[in-house]
Amino acid sequence: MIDYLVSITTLAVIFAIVALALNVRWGWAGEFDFFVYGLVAVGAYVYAVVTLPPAPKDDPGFIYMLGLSQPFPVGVLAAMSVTGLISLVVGAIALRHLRQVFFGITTFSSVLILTAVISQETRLFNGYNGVFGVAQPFNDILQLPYHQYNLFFLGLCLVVLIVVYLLLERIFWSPFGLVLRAIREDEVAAAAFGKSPYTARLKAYVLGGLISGLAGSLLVSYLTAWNTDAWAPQETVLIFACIIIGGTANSRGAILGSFVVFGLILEGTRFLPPIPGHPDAPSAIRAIAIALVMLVFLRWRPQGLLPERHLIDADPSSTSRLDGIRNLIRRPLRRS
Amino acid sequence: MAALLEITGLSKNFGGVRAISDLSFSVDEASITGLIGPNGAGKSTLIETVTGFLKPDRGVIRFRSREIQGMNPHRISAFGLMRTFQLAHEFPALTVMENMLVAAITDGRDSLWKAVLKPGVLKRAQDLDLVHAREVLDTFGLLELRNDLARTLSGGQKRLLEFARLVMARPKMVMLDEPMAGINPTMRARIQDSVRSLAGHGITVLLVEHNLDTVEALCSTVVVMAAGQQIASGTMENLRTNRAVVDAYLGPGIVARAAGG
Repeated sequence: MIDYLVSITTLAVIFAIVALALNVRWGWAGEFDFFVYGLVAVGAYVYAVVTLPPAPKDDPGFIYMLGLSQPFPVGVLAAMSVTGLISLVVGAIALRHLRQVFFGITTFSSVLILTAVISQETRLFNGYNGVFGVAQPFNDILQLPYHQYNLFFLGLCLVVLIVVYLLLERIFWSPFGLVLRAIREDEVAAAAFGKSPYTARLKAYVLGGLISGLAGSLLVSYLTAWNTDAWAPQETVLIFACIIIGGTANSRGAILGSFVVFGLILEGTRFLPPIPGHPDAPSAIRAIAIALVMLVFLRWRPQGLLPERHLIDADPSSTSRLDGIRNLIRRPLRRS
Repeated sequence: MAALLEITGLSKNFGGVRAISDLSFSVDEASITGLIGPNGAGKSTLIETVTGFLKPDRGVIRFRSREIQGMNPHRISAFGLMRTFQLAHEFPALTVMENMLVAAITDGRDSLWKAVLKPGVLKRAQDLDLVHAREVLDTFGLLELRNDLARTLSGGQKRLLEFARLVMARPKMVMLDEPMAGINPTMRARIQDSVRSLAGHGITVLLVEHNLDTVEALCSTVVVMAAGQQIASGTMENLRTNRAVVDAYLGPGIVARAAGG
């Protein structure tokens, strides 16, 4: 049971990092982005081929590029560099003129192209079969037994999540974060006040890409294998669900949402009694449950469990603590 | 007085429609200049073209002696020439105070690197902005609403917020696109004061407006446009008796018929 809890928590923590990446793009910048999970996948592949030893020469069924046998930090940096660079290229093209649903279609198509290329061109990441045998980070030094290592890895993911969260909080409350949200609200007005919508959006897009690459590295380290089945388009919907349920443009909300979606809804439905003759029922029920919860939130609580936070300027003439508390309670609603 | 904004031979076509054709005029520093003309005269197109939201077909626009035609809107704005819109463009899901702070962010303070590496410096700058923003909001009667989302404001209050944001942004010059549109008479006096207060802050104003009483009350010089061209300029008093201006507004012959009985 402990193993099971550790395993769900680890996945939820990793997906929380993915949700934070999407939240930068969607929650802060307002981009209807479907590319995040594609970047997680690319990050996972790059991390794998940088950390794996060279592909065996005598096995035509297991080929991949590089194979540099590098340690965890090098793999992570390589993954983040590649996903950041891809974000820069895709963002530079797609962010110039495309908005809303057109941006969504473009980024969704980009993921489909990525899937096609990676599954057909086997010399990159072994095609459909994907890469496997990725080593557990740091365990060549630590030499921990299975159970203890899983706890260590959960701790590692938690540390990464906390660092990413603190960094994003700093950016959210900075002038950059404020300008980005202003651009989301009205880019014409933001330009009229001397802010470049394109530049700010592109920066946010690359920031989201870097975090996606980081999350991809952790995910493939945990799963030890990665192939095209692992990143079907519906995974992206799950990340959107995390943010819609948890709270758009609120990093705490994105984290909370990931635990609700992966911990409660996905894992909770595992304990449903089996329906004889319908072996696929649990996974179908899981998908329906996610969709229903998303719809309920979109209709009755579009701001999510934890709404977007705002700078609250307390009364300058009053130093009463009560005022501060009152202002904390009076949280404005998010836009619908 | 030196010309702050100088427009020479400006033209802008939309397909076959000549919205602005060979227009030339200048705006003096520290003045409130009016720009009037019937609907379709090209006044809004002029604002869009000068502030970079539309690209001109021909002509030279000099601001602070520098050519700015064809630049991106955010660059022109950062250079000190700003504008307002016919419909208020507040940032709806940001608070009134956050709206003010966005306008005050200049000199690359919105850099992502600074956000990560120098949060203390940015925080201190923002604290100064906060103090200034409270004063400005107070003069516009919006102080009590500073923690409300901007979309909850009334139409008139949104208009006032636009002026308050301009004071925070400290442009050299601002082009106001029909600030009185859809505003009730009580609020009108208040907005009239706000335009004066912009000028009082040393901001040169070009006021595009249909309400001629407002224009007369505020503007020393008035430029009249019709069919994309300047047809007259001078004080409002002189323009009221100018035949070309009256014709453009009311249609040719009205004055003649009225005079002839």
